[in-house]
Amino acid sequence: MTSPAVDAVATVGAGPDALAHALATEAPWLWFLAPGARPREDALDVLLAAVAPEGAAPPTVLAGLLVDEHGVPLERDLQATPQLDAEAAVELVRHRLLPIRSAGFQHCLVARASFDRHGLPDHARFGPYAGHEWTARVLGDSAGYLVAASVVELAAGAAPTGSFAQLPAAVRMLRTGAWSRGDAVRALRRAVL
Amino acid sequence: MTTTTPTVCAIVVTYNRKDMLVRCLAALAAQERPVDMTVVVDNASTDGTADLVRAGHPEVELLALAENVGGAGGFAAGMAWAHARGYDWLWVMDDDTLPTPESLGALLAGAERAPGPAPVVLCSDVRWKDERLHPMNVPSPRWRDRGHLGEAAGHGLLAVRTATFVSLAVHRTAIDRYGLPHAHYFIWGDDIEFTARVLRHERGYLVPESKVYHWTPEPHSPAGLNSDRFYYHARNSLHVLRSRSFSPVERVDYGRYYLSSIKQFLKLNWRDRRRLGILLRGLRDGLRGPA
Repeated sequence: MTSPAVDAVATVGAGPDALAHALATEAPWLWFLAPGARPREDALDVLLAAVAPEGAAPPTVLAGLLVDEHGVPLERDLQATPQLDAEAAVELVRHRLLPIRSAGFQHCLVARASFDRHGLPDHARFGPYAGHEWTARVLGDSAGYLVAASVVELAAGAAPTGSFAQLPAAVRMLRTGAWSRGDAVRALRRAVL
Repeated sequence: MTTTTPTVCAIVVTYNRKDMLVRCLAALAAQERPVDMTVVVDNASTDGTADLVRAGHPEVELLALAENVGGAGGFAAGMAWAHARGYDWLWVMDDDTLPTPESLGALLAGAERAPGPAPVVLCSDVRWKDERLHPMNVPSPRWRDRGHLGEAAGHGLLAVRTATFVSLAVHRTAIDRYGLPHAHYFIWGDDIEFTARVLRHERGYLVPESKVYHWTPEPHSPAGLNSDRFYYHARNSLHVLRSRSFSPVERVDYGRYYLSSIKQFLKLNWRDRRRLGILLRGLRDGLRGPA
């Protein structure tokens, strides 16, 4: 899983130490993977192919699809929250992409330059939702896509799910400005409904 | 789903637009994957449409209605006709729809590559004359079903919750299970209600390689805020809200959209007593009768 164009680094558990180690390599793109994740053979190559999509804004965040051991998409996982923009979805789906508003760090390729602009994820405050808070900040002014053909297997329950547990993180994300009020309301509705 | 080559009946509803109908029929005749039958549903046009079809298009079946029953009634009649004759896919469109030559083939190819259960609804990428997405015909993606949405995108398909009758292919099993569109809507909202009803339980996709043009004079939005036709929007949206085509949660979203359109209409027309009367009649009639 290598590309001559991009030097990607996998972090273990996406924790602060692993991230610090990855940033020390000065790789232009960082590939976050959850512990226990089993990427399919072409998972990284498919992500890398979406780094410069034709006719679409260059992304800073590319999230892949999480499936369980039977290949079934994890329905309630928070890996990627779609940007609710039907027109953008129609335009992007021909490239097998969907626009996203935030993504978790379970299977996610991130442009290194984003860390220079937006700082580090706040694991202390946001815990398992740190990836979402950080990418929500980043994607407030840049593009991010779900690259659904890039598939990683993950045991069900290994990713944080949309639930009331998300509520404190959502409130903090609202306060930090990572989410707009609309984003927070939609997330809350997803958790409740 | 059958394993043999599916049969397709194109259904074109028309009313007093001969020139557009001729262009639409030419576009259908130019399909790389030919349609097996084309039926024109003439809503009692007075401009000689029926004569034109009989004389100039003997290959086309003409369903000449005795009165104008609106787009909703026309689609219901045409789909009933095609369903009764056993076609697998019913490809519906207005007379101002211009499919590109690959439209139908791409739709069927989309069905073939769809993951999981076979889809019963397929729709096209609908553009206006200047190539922008036509605002009337942008489907609602299946936002709430994120796993399915993502899986479909991985196959180059957009999982949709509702779509419009501008290049929409409906599999006959959808009619078997959920019935026909409601003719009593007359115009507007019949496609949203029908696709919402079917896709509450089934799968449907936008196939981006299937491109059509919706050749309206203006790229207007569906609500028709500056038109007496807002009556149908006001009435039919209440019918949709009273139906079970959407889940209760989805009805909240649809209700918000509806209230927003009412607010915009009032903002534009609050000094026009006649228009206000149209709105009130729409609200009244929307609360009555079958949903």
